[in-house]
Amino acid sequence: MTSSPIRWWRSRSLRLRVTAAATLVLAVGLAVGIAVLSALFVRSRVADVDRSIRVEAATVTALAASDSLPQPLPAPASGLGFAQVLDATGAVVAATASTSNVLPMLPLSRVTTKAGHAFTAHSSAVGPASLRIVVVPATVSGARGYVVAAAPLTDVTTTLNALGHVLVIALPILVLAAAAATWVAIGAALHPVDRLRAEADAVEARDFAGADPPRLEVPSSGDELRRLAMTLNRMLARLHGSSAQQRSFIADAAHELRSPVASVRTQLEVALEVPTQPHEWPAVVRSALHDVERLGRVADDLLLLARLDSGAVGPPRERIDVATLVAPSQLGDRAVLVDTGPHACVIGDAKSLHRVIENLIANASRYAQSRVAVCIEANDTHVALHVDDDGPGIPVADRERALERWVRLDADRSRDRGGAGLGLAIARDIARAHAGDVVLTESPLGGLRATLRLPRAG
Amino acid sequence: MRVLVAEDESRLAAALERGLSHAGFVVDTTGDGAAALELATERAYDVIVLDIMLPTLSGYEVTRRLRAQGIWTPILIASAKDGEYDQADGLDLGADDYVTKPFSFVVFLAHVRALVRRGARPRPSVVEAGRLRLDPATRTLTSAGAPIDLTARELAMLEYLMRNVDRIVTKEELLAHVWPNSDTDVNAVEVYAGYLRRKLGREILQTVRGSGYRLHPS
Repeated sequence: MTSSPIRWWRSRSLRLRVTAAATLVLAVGLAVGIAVLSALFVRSRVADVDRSIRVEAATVTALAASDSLPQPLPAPASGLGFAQVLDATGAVVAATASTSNVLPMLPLSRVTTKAGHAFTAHSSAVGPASLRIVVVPATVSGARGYVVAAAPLTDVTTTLNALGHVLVIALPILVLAAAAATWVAIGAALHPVDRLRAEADAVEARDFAGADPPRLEVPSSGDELRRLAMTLNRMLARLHGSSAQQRSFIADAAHELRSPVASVRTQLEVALEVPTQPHEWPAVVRSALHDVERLGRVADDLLLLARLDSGAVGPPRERIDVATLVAPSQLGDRAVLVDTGPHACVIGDAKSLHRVIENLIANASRYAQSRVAVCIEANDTHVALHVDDDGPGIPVADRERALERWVRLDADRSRDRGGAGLGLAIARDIARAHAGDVVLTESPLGGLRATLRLPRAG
Repeated sequence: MRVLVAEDESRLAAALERGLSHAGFVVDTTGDGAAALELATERAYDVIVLDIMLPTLSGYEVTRRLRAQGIWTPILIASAKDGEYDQADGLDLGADDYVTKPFSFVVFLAHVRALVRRGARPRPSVVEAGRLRLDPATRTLTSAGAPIDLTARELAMLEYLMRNVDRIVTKEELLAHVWPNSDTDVNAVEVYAGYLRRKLGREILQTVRGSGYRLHPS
């Protein structure tokens, strides 16, 4: 239950909390300040008074010592103050004009205990005011006696009272005014935040569909809010970019999925529409089957990409000799394994890595004129598997793009021969999931060299 | 009726050829954009069926170049691209119709027949008259190559005049085609005629007393 006021406080608005905190600090600060000032003032005034009554006491003591006490005693230099000379029994021997020469200012008991000290007290012999009193032992007519000197603290009391009024009346007004000013100023300072929030709130998914990214209005002030708005705008631009990428990926995926479906549908519709002889049907079915297979491949590739994107690439991480990934049976009709090199192992998922090599060889075969060659190199840290072809190659500027999804640089080739443009992208994604990469360079055969590079596992 | 089918998916192209032939069309097929452009330029087709993603030249480019050469054969774009802008771009470049793959062959045939009915009369997507060139898709007007700012209403009135450049256009006709309310005063037409003259030169509109206006683009 102790946390509930804290929770309540934290659930208040920032504006309220800052105003309350600032007001509290101001009120406490002012109160402490006034208290310290008063204390210093009182100390300094009391020291002044003490000095003057000690001088008076010393003067009277000297007079008593020389046995020449006048009646009345001389008034203190400040004009404010009293002095009495008391004998050992506490009876008044001499006094200043302003005080009684019968009634002692202090009873004997207090005089003896306070001798030598300055202190604050009241005295019925003088009046209701607070007094600073000093008692000094003296020799009076050759016997033991005391000099008592005093001065009123009237001005100190008056000043303290005035300060008290300030504390009670002016301080609350001042604090309330400060609180109001803080409330207004914070409201004004937070207004752009509120506007930014409202603008950011108004950004909807469809705002990312346009050609330009959605933007929040950047405040003209050069402060944190301006930087916040600019940061938010950069974030929106990045979101817009990734949303555009996403949309174009989906559009491409839709295109690649629809094309074979369209082909199958039209083939079957036409076969039903146009009189088809029984012996022609197998050809119709085989042709449709081609497109169904293509559809299946695109669907598989898309699912594999989705799995790669979600980071769920083949959990079994086994130790694989790279040479076993390119057994002659996997090389297809045109590829030749030139050099398996040293026996180098990598850690990974054999099925996924097979897929990489399959895709690289399929791509090379598509462009090769006559030859596809595979070779393996290894150094202490990495294993490289090269797939070379003697085809036209890819210009340096296009190589990076060739590894992107749905990119088919072979616009000159028809759909039937070119793939969907996912093979190399998938190969690179799998390689990267294995802390490796796929890079494209020139092949010694004159065409393209696609290299799968993986970290070596001993 | 002769149809050109430009489609790079050979099995789909073969099926379309078979189906169209059965429906009585003479069909040529090609799987290449440049070849399609060449065929369409050399032979008189009644309809051209174009895929967008073609090797060498895209369907858009084939459409644009055919229209630029003044070949007005109706074009039906058949594509698996179904984005709003894909379709709008195709039509704005001068294609006449757009079907999204996969389509029903029966509906596809109906689209082809509808385009045959339309014939190959000029249907420019950009209207030109003298030195004026107006693109309704981008809502831009140039006069001898220099862009001129017109309001939507001014553009609409000018487009109507440009499309009927060879005859007198009455004020009532302009009111009916350009203004949303039929009870608008005929004076509005005169006011806008004044605006057009101010922006394009006095001589651009010739007033034919008692009948209307004739556009006079020098």
